Amino acid sequence: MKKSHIIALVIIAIAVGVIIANTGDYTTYANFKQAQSEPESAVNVAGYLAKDKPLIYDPMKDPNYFEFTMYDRDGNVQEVIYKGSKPQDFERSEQLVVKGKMEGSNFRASEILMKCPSKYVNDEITLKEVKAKA
Amino acid sequence: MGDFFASRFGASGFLNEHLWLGHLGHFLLVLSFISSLLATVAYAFAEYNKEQKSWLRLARTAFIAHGLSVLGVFVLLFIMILNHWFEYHYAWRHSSTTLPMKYIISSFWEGQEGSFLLWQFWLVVLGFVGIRILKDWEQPVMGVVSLTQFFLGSMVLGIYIFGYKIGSNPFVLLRDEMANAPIFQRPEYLQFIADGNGLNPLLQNYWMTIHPPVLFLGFASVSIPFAFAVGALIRNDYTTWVKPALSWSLFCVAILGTGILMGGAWAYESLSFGGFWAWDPVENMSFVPWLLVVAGIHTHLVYKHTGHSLTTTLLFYIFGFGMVLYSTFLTRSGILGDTSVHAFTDLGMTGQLLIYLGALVLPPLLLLVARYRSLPSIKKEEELFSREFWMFIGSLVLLLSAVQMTFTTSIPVWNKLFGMKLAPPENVVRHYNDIQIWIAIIAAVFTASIQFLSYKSGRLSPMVKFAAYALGISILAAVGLAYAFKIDFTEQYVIDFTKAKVLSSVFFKFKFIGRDFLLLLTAVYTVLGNLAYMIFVVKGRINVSGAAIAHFGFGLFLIGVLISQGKKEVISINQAGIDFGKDFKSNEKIENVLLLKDSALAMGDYSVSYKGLQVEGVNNYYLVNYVRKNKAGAVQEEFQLKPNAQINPKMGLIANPDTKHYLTKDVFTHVSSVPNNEELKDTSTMHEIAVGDTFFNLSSFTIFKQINRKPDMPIGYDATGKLLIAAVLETKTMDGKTYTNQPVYVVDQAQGKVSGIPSEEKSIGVTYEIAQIKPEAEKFVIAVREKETPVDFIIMKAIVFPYINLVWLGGILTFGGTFLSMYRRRKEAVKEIA
Repeated sequence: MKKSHIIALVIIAIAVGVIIANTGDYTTYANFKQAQSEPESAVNVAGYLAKDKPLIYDPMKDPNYFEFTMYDRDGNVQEVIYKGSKPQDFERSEQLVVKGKMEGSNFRASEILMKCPSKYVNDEITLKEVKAKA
Repeated sequence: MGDFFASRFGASGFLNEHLWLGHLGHFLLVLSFISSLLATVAYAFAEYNKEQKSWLRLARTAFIAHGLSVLGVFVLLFIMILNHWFEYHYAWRHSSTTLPMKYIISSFWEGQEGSFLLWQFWLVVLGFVGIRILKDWEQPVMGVVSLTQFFLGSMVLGIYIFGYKIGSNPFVLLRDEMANAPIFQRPEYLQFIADGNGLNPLLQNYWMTIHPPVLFLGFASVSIPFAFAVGALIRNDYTTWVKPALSWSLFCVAILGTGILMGGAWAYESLSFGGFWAWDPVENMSFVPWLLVVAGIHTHLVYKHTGHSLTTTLLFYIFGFGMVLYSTFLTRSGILGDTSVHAFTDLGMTGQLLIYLGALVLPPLLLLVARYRSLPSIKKEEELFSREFWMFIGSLVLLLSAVQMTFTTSIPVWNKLFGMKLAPPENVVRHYNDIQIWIAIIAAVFTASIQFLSYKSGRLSPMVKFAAYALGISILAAVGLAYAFKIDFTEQYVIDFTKAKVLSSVFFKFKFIGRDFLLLLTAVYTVLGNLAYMIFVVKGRINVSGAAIAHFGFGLFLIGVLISQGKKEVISINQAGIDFGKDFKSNEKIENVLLLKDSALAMGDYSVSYKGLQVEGVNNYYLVNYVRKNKAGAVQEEFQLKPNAQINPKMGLIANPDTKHYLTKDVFTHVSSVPNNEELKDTSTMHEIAVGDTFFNLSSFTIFKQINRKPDMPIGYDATGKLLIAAVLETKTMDGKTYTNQPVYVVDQAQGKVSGIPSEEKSIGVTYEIAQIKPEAEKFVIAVREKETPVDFIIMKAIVFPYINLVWLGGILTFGGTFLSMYRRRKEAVKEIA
């Protein structure tokens, strides 16, 4: 075997090892129950904003503290704390995906993805009012 | 027959439509599709019947017809968008009448159809150049290009075959797309359509007019090295393609790289994540083909000089093209969903894309396997200290980079294939940096060192001493820079296989030279090593310095990335210093700060104040003043930034940052939130009081001073027969100001009616009105309406990026150097043909 082939194999072996080790970073999709049972690992939880519960965001006090309540897709309800500014139009969100982990009784989100009912490209025609000609 | 024409070319029953454009467009799409197939077939026959020139002539004619019809479609689509012909779905969906000209051009490629057309357009241009200059390699290369055009053309065809929709057509009518909407019952429906949907505000940036065309030229140009590789395999000729293909590969790397860098500039200027690269799936998947072609060029050079690495080169070019298709599949099939800022919707072409990926990439791979035994190979091993050996290893390192990026970006694909529930890493940036920075370090060492080695030689050339000098100076320089920029010399490393749940026993940590320091050192070495090469080896001959200039730029780029990203400083750290209790870790980012109007906060070296809102059309510009003073208090520097927030009815707040550029740093500012004053409510309270009583408002208190029976009334007020009674109210605010108001109670004795004339104190938003007078109790009932004071503030983030210009300068030099190499290799190829 050629030297270059041996080194190539070694590099590929290292690559496989490193990539496998690196996949330890991957998170999973879960619900809040599963997040509670594994408080150490970060998960992604998809669900909906509980619109009947208060949103706590007082930028005068602290612009980097936002608290809300959310249901996951299996109906578990959970208070979520996000340390950042409240995303604009958060109230209008239809679906939420929060990334983070449980800390105590709260879910600490490091990232929030929101799906709004009207994504920009939607097929809804804005009509102009035109008076019918007599 | 009459019906046939009436339905297509005659009266449609609808008014003011421009149907000719759509018909012509459909016709040209079909023509371009068929002529590309004809060109493919004709080129194949021309390849095997070299004596019969008629096949080649037919192939060229077919390709030119194809090219002209693509150009025609291109022009028609522009006419449709420029004229706002909203009877066409594409124009309606991607543009609007309020859009400025420069962004109307961007509407063209917002949709999938437009971007596929852009890709086709560039491949036509490259094909026309190819017909002129490819000479002997025209048949196989143009054959493959025509076949690619055939597949791309089907993506915009929009026809149904056996119930399957093939492609998506840009000339679809709005009334066909949304046939169920009731307005299309009316022949004059067009006058009811107020405006188009408009362009995604994130794309309304000048980089978006230039970045996509350059990027797609890059994507299109990956086809050419691929076509050469396929052609070499078909012909079983592995010598004559080497020189002509090299300049095309270099062109591809320079253009695709420029396109990617422009995308970074767009992200930096118009997205709010604060940087030019976020390891976003779409970014990664444009970077991977680039890396593979770069690796291919290096093994290509090895093969040219030594005869080694032919198979590797062919594989790099085939996979480079394959990854362009795979990346198209990932970004266009909707499989990435919300994991990317580049939102492309699913047009139901997933299956089609996968079929093409297989149809274009598998046959060349099979051909390679079939030809493997006949590929020329060199029995003698590469010497350990030869240039070819290390260039080969370097290419494998680049491949590693590509593999890791592809692997993680493909998470949604793994989930689909294996039914898993994987999600991207918690910290995406760290995940990629953990691998890619090491790859950059190795690549930096290689680009500085390997050029000092000679091809086919086991002995070190005397030139190696220059590399050693460069390394020595680099160590000194890097230590100095590390002190200046506070980069740690050592770092704690953790090797952990336990999280991946495969090798649960492998976990250890150790202390070693810091990764950032190593990157700095190796990047400086790249800069100096290549400088030394230019001065001492090629002795300043610019025409052969292309590679050295490109590598020099790469070194500068790495230094720029390291310092601007690693040492970026968020200066808008929240000053409030509120303790959130043990639930919060102290090292968490507290990067947003609230700035009240007209009040100043210290941020970094600056005193920053918010001066108010300036509205221009749909754009809200928040005026933010930066002032830097010296110790004596004299103003050193003053500037205003206008971060923009578009309150878009369809997308919510779209924040566009604003940046002050200096030679050595950028001050970046963006608004993350603004108060919503529409939600303010009026409060209304009643107070029953006598003279001398006091009542409280939201932010002030009011004393009933006295009764005034002769209040000043507006000029012209007819007071005859009326009894006027005013209450003199003195309001004191928290900041010590006093206001006097006199609401009047009018008793119209003649008509027996009572009414109140309210008095408003505008500056504090309070209105008083006498609702009733109770004479027996000597009490007045006063209604107080109070507006919640609209608080004007912004929540913003400010970041200083030091030396970010090195990133841009490094990028420009890298691609400039690559163009220089292309020019040189092209001249070589021409000389050989002549």
